[in-house]
Amino acid sequence: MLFNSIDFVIFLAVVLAVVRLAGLRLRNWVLLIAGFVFYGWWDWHYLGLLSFNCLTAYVAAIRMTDARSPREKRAWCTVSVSICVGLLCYFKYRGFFLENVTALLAHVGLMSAAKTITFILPVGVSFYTFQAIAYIVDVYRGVTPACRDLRDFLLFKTFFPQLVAGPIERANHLLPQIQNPRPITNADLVEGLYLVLWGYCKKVVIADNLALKIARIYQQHDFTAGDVVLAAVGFTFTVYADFSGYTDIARGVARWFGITLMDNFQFPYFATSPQDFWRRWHISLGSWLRDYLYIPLGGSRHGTFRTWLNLIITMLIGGLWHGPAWSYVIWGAYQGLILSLHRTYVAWRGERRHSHLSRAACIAGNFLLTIYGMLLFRLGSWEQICSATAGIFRFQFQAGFLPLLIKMLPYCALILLMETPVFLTKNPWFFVRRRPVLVAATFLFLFYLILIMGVTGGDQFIYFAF
Amino acid sequence: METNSSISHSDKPSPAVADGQSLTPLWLFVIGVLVIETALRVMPEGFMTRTIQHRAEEIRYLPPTDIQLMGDSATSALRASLLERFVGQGYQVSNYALPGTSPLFNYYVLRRQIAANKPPKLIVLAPHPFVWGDPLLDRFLARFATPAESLHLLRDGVNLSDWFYGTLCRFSYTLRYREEFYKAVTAGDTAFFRRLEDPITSVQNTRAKITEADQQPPVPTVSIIDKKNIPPILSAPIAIHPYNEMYLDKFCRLAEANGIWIVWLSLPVPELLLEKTGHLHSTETYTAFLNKMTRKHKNLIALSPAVPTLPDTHYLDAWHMNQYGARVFAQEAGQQLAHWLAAHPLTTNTPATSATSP
Repeated sequence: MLFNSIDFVIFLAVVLAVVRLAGLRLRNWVLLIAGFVFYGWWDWHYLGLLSFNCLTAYVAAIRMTDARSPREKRAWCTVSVSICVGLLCYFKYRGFFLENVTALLAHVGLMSAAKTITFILPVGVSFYTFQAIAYIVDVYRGVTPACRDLRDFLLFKTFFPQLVAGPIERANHLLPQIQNPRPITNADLVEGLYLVLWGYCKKVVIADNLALKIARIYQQHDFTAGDVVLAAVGFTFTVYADFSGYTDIARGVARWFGITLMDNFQFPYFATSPQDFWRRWHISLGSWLRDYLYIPLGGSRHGTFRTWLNLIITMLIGGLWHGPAWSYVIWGAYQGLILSLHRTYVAWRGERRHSHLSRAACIAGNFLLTIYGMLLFRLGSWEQICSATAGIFRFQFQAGFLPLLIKMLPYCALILLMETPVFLTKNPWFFVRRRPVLVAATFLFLFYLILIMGVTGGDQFIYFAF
Repeated sequence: METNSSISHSDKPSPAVADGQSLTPLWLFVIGVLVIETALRVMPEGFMTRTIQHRAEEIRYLPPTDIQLMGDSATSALRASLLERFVGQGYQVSNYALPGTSPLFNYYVLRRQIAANKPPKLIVLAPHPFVWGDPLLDRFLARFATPAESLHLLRDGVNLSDWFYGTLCRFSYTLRYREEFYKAVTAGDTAFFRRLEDPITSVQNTRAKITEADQQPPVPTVSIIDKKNIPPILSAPIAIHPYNEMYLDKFCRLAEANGIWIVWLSLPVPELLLEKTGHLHSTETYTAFLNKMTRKHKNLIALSPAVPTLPDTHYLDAWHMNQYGARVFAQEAGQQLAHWLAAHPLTTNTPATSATSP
């Protein structure tokens, strides 16, 4: 069930009404059932996989807590994490693996031709697997206690707003809110509505319209500089509007149930460096990679070479997490490389305070690095990447460049219009903490933008595929 | 990477707001939506909506003709009197094509017509081949259906969310004309607003007399189709939506029960459309569907199974024939129809007892 579908609107209205009628005592039961219905709506066959994933983490956490020795505890942790990773690899990467093996065999002449193998990817598998791993490791480390109430734990894993595309919630943030339900406040309703409206606006107005405009560019194999600019800038705003739109809808809907989900984005395109970018972009994944991969690998504690290696390994896995494709691997490697280079540069130059001018220059420079990264992320093949990279230096701008750019600008400007004041004032509720008339006017503006400018029957959220 | 371990400030509900926030903005928003939508209700309906509503009403009080054309705006090009002339044999022809509609609408038009006891003897069903891919359910519910017909759709098993959206469109002017608003905002196309007060000239269209221009239209030499702005639905192979198939089934059964023949006339499309997707690939679904339906319903006759083409010069745009194209096609279709009618004169025989293919 997609957030941008009428099915979801009806589903949400029913769940809100039932939660309201059921009261606080039965809230968790209603939300738990809703979570399974929400996931089963897509394909009920995979409810078994979701349940197995939940039960693995649930049982492992309790066994670790009750373990009589550190060795037993470690064994439960290792086995359960291996099961989670194994299932993720099987369902997400077996096609990719088999395809590349057959291609290799075909290349050395052991097979007549490479095979294209298609498997159905269980939606959200990467998100709920990472959530399970984080929970298991946190219990192992003693960061969070094991949850013994199966209902509460299942709800933590299947809370529908964050089930299929995150944020990848940590147990110590979400579980207490489930275990101790609080009444829904007026602020939940008003701020939730703002998040939902702005989230939908980003998805169906900005992301879907921009995606339609740039789709044709990505189908070609010969890029001019104009194509690259349009494709890169267009996709950079599309992917941000799409994913942060999803997150805002999820956070807004969760607020309507009295639950606060973590923020996943903090103005990533205003980042001053690659490191700063990863503090602002897909925060729940970035922090996951840091806490469960980069730091266990040794982080920056073992010299420059190991730091570089750790960063590149972490980002390669982060890239591959997005999907079984070489473009994600290349993007991951690129991210690892620019993070490493930036770290080396900072170590060489030393910490300095930014003037306004140098800060603006850093934002601009980092934005250029980011949009090239987004281009790598979106391009489908190595040939396209080479053509696009070469195209940058060809300095050709076709006749259609300016008209298309002008058509794209209002959508990009809308993001800046809505997010710059929030960024500058550091007030996430800039548009909500105003006089009621102004707040209502903002809501009306967003609502009618969605009604009129929203693309109906648009694409699913980009991150649903991950 | 390791410096940011805390969750950002913005995810926390604002403490001051948690207790002190009023719901006034929310209520003002709801009131605002109600005021805007109520105000928009005094706006006239779109020209196309008024036209289809008027024609559907007209069909119930004007005397029925022997032959009735049904379809969409592309079918409107076939002037009734022009076809009447080519068919000959004294048959009367009317054109009740409803612009901007899908085959789903035809079933409900026929239902209304039969309820008013004004059925034709033969229906020439000629929707544009590419409209089978979209039932335009929201448009049907918002601009055409009576409340009883809306409920009837639910009983027919139409998806609840599709029905719900269509019903919302009925109540919201903004949703009902969102495409038009969208075009106005993004492309500055204000034709919709300019035509809000246009008078309807339906009878002239449904039973139009032949004009001089219809008889001798100027021969176009240059294509004026905007090749860069072909609608996406025309760029993909023809598809058949399950609702359109379901309602064609019902349409045929209703016609059969009332002794009405249906002749399926495949409208021509510009050559460039089929060049884009490859002729066979583009039309094979359509041909298979047509064959399936003609096998299934004895009163449904196909005059030609394939999708015909006309030169691009015979079109106003990618959808609609110009006067010259319409004349060329009306002559061809009229002669085919005349040939079939000569073998199957429209008598009181019911299709079920006398059906044979031409």
